[in-house]
Amino acid sequence: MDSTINKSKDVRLGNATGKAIALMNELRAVGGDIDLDLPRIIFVGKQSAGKSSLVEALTGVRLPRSHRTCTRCPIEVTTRRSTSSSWVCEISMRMTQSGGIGPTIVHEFKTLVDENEDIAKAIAEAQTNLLSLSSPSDDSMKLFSSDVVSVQISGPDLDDLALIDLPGLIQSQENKENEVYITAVENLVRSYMEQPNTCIVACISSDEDIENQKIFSMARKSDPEGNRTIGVLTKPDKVEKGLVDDIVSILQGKSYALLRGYFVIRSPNKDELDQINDSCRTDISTYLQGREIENLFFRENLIGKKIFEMSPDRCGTLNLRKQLSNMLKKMIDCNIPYVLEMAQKLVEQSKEELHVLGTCVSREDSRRVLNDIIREYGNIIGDYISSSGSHKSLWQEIRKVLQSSKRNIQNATPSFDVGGKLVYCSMLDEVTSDSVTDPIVLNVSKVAASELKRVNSPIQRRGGISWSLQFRKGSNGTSICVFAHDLPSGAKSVHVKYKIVPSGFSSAVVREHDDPDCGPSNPVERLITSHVGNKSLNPSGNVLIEVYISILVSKYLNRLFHHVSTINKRHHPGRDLLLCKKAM
Amino acid sequence: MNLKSNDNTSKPLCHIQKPYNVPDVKNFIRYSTRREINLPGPASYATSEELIKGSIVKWVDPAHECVNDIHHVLLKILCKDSANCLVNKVVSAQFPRLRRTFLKVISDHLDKLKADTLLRINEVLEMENALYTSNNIVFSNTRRQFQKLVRSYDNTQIADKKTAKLTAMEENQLNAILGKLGRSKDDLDLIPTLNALNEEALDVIAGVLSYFFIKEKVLVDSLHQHIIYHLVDKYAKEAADGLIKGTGLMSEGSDKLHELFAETEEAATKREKLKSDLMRRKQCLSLIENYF
Repeated sequence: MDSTINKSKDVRLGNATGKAIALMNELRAVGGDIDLDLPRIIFVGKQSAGKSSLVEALTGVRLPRSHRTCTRCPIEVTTRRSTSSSWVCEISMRMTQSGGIGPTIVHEFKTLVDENEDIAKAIAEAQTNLLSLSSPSDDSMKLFSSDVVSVQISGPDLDDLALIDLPGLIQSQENKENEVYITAVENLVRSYMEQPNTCIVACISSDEDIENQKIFSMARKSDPEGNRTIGVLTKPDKVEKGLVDDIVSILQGKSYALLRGYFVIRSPNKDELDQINDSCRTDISTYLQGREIENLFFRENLIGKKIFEMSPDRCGTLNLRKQLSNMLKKMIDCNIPYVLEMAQKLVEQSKEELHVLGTCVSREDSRRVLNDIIREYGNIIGDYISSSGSHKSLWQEIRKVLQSSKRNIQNATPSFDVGGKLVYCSMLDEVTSDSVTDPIVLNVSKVAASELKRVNSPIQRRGGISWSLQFRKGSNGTSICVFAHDLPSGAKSVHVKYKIVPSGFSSAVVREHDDPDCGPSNPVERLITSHVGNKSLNPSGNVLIEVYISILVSKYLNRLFHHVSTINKRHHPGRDLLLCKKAM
Repeated sequence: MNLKSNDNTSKPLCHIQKPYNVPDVKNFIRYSTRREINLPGPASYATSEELIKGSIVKWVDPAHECVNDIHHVLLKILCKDSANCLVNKVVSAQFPRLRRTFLKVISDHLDKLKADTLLRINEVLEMENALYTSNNIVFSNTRRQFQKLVRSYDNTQIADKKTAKLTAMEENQLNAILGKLGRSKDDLDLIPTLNALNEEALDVIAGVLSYFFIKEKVLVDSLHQHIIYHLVDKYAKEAADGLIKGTGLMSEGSDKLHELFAETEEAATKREKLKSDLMRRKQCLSLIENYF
């Protein structure tokens, strides 16, 4: 194995997509990841599983280390290859206000221009600062935060990449009051894992039982197909000799299989790191030393050698970089058009929502705006009164009230019972004295429920009888049917059929067919033919004639049924309808 | 109204449920305190008048109901029907105070017009009580038609006791009674017989029906005109002026008017968030567009 760091083009993370990664970083910097699902690589796992070491190994950026929890908020590490020879590290804090719904605010924390400066210390300070800002009213710092510490480094020797180191899952807390953070960290990690454009690097210490790792059950839930999850076994130097075969079996996909497989990474342990820090002044030097230690492990250590011989392409940081690079490249390529489209939609959505909310009215404008509103109100009232445009509802409602009022007044007008027959003032309008003196003749069959659904005039009730009219359009004209409904058993209803036949510029009403049940003396037929038959009522079509007949027949039937009902109540108590005495 | 019917002895006429029958009308004639006997003109003028007045009273409720219903329709369409009402369409939800002011001004305005309309309606109905006339030519024509109609319906065949032949003994007894009263047999003509009462009742019915044949149409038309004019049309004319006065557009200072446009805290917070969202999203869009 090559002991030098392979910086050839094919293994550089993000080399092929450097520009795209830069875009992703810029979008994150302005809070674009709040609305947009940007591709990212996250490192998750238990506390002290070696996540920060792994991020350090991949980026060459030294992160705070401790034997206890050291990552207490998401740390975004972004490295960019710059064309200038200068090295710059910008550390900032990105905070969301009002529990995530407010605007994102970026606090610049520190800018380092000397590679010899302690980046890990600066990051630790930024994290401490961020935690205190997250709960300014509380003297004791909040233990964890979902706000982000962003580390952006640019330099001539760096690769383009962006990784997110997340706080490790906590097993237990010494202080019972702090147990709430176990769930809080789990939720924070899960919220990152559930994003579809997130590549999950699940880190597990090689000496721990993989079966009991919570992070894998979380990964299976967030990424059921396994397309986005890579397993990384850290600290292989701690594995007992007898368990090496288990590691090899996992790497070869024979146990605990993952679609994207596992890698074994050997990062420097604390003692080695101290030695490196003593001897190296720059991150690059540290990085190179770290890779050298890893190479030595896979080349000379008995365990490392065995693992390397069995699965050489699954060992070492460089192989992992290559795999991550490919995954990230695919994600970005697939998503940039979608991200653009999404951003356009979101801008339009915000504009629309602001438009709906309306504009603020200044003190100076208040009189003018109020005047405009009153004028608009007055204009619309005018439209309502003239029933113009879409403002017809007022007169529709008023007409209903007036019709109802007319009926109520008619009902309050006196009527007389003379010789068992009802006499009322408006009867001269509708029926001749002959038709009233005749016994009421109703002839009929009940109308099926399905027929009722097609009835196109509202069912009206009068004197215990319900009735309606139906107009049916046909090729030969329009048929008019008069139906009575809900009749008591044994009673009959009216069923009269007529046809409106267009004739030149006029319309005529003729009987549709010779129904034996509808005799020529049918009062409805007499009524229609005497008013409408063979007269030129509507030169423009059938609509007016339909309305005319509808009103005519409605009026007649109302009176008729009222009359029948009144007589029935007097002479045939308990019966709703007077049956025919004489056939129609 | 002090007329009583045989079926509803203790109820005033306006509470008697229709239809009246001939015996009812006969009772009204008998108990009428202003009954005319053998005077020229329409039969039982007073009874007809009482019947008409008693019926007109029954028009008050439907007329008032009509005013209330149209008032309700106006309120509903203009300011009470939540999202669909005119005020909510014209005044943005971000200005709740302005909406409330509009709602109150409009409601008060409509209430005032409704009260005016009810007064007008009452006047129209009271006018109907002022004069009962039978001189109208249409009235006379329809009266004849109704007379014909009700007579054709009437099936009471009461023998005319006046013309019935009396036995000699009955004749003597009658003459003795009349003698004691200082009257002759000719005076019997002045006493209405049962048949004459029946005829008179039929005439009253025909008269009342012919009166309402015209009046019902005229009154419905008149009531509706009054309601539309005094409530609907007047509001349309006065709506803008009412709001100008009610909101203080011309009388109040800018500070007072500006208070009407005060946003809710919720709306102000939402606006700030939307602005911040828009700024961020525009930045993102700009970055992505530059990338392409």
